[in-house]
Amino acid sequence: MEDAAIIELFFARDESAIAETDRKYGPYLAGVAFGILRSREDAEEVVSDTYHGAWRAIPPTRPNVLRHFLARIARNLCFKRLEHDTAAKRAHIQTSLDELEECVPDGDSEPERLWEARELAGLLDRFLDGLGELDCALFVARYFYCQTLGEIGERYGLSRRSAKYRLEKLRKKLRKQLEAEGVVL
Amino acid sequence: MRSEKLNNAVGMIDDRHLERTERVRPRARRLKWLRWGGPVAAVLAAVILLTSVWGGRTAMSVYAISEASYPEMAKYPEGEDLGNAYELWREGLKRQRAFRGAGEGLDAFFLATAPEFLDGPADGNRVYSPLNVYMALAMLAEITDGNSRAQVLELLGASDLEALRRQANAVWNANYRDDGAVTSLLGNSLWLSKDLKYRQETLETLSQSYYASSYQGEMGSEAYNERYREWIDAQTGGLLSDQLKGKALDAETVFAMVSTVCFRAKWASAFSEVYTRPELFHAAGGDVEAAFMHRTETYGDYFWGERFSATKLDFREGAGTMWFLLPDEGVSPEELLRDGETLSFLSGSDWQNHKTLRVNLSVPKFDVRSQLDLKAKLAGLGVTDVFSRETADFTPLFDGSLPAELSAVRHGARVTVDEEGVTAVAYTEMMVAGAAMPPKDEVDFTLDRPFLFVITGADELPLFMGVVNRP
Repeated sequence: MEDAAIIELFFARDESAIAETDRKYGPYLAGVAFGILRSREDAEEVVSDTYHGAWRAIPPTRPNVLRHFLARIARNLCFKRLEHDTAAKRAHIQTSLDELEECVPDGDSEPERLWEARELAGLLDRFLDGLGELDCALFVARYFYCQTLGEIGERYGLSRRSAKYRLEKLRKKLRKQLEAEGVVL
Repeated sequence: MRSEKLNNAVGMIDDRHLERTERVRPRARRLKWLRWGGPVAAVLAAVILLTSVWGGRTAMSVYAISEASYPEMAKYPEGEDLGNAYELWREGLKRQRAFRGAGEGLDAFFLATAPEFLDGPADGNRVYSPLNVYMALAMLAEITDGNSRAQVLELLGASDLEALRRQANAVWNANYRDDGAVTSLLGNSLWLSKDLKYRQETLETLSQSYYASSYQGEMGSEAYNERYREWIDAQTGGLLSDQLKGKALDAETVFAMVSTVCFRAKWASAFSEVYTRPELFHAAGGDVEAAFMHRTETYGDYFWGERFSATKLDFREGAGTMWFLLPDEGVSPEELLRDGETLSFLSGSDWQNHKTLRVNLSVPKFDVRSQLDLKAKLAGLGVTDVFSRETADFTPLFDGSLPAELSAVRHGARVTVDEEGVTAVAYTEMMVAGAAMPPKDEVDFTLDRPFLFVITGADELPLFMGVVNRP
């Protein structure tokens, strides 16, 4: 079923919207959730909650790209779930967060203002616009989908070491850009 | 932690970056996999065998003239590389989607044949695979000419051979799944006598358009029979081996054509074995005890007509759907198959009498199988010339001066249904639990008397239809 038709089902409060969404995007969302949580059971629960979230959000929201709209819900739910998890269960995602920490400027000076996540997203958009296709994909795979270096290497035909090196360079580049913009978090 | 704010921002990046990421082509490489370890929810297989007799034999070994190569399909993701593997698997499925709608116009054939082929005594189970017979008849049209071909084309509703060939190829592809999670495979083969001087171009057409393998060997020899049985076993997962015992090709056979269907899929949401218990099934010959599976579909589909009610269950990963049609009290499944309203429902027409409600489903576990002789039934449907050596025309396959006739058309099928599909259970049930308010209405749908079932594949074409008179 086309996305537009599925969205119409949501707007019509037709419960088959859930089944159609699951039919079309269930495996994709399970992949997104598993990538972050690394637990099949937890991922399945998040996928289920994602449909619930979509049901509440549509209407009024009319997603531009349903697939990505759902992925964002799933991603948010995954991180919310991880907030309550033990350090051991967070280990995988902690690596990704530690890497992002490297990008954050020191902020020694007194901040003029704090940046909100939405503003930061705009800055990230500009940063990604300046990257080539592969680098953009590597960044998104690592920090949006939280894939491991091994998975990224497998997908994009790079060795693990090569993927790691390219991501290090990207983080340095991002840090410079954040500093140039005067970002303080 | 400051990184968490940045992480939240990453979650808000614009769709265009996600799209760019998806456009970067993954490098093709072999993935590590685990196949499904557990049993399957539905195991279905069918074989149709057409043999043509003539004569003559001498000793020789078996060899393959051409062996079909099936399209490569990315495997269903398992293990640690789930994220990437899902994407590769999804891309593989896109190929199948391109063939959706291939069976447009086949309803008339399915609806004309089902009542004929599934008719029989009230104490027997019968299974028929419409797609299997369609594929076999399409191949028969390829190897015949003149009136022999025209009669087959007419039954299939095809305007000409070229149109039929295109459609059969699309139907084959639309129903092909072999990704480890779902198996849906239409196998075709031709078994030629060693003395037959065949036309190579016809075998090539069968290979390219129907994914058919062709073999040649000494009819009646143990080596040929063994190869023949091995091929069927491989195509049907060994499920029909007991039905095929003693069905060896005899020495008089000029050629045999075999088409198979093998379909394995798990329920989207499994039945729990905990709730399976023995209950009475009211068969025509008296009550029999059967193991009934139970499940509540919170958002079940309930359909009804003047003489039946129906519900459906989906298989995982878009593999298809199983439909259960329960005739009203006093109506037999065979009567239902000749009922215009029921046929209209089966043809997939837009059905108004449908409600989404809580369905308390009770289904007997069953393992039904049947062997149908379709020769007389096909003759009754207008396919007659191929059955007489005076009128049969096999010139596309071999020299027309050799008299031959189609001597047998046998159709064996088996459908096994049970609770399995454990991996799927939590997935759908959890999804449903949080989705919306439960419907107010509910219905008990208990298949405790003879009923009909239809299994439609990914393309919504009927892979199997059956009458369960005694589970």
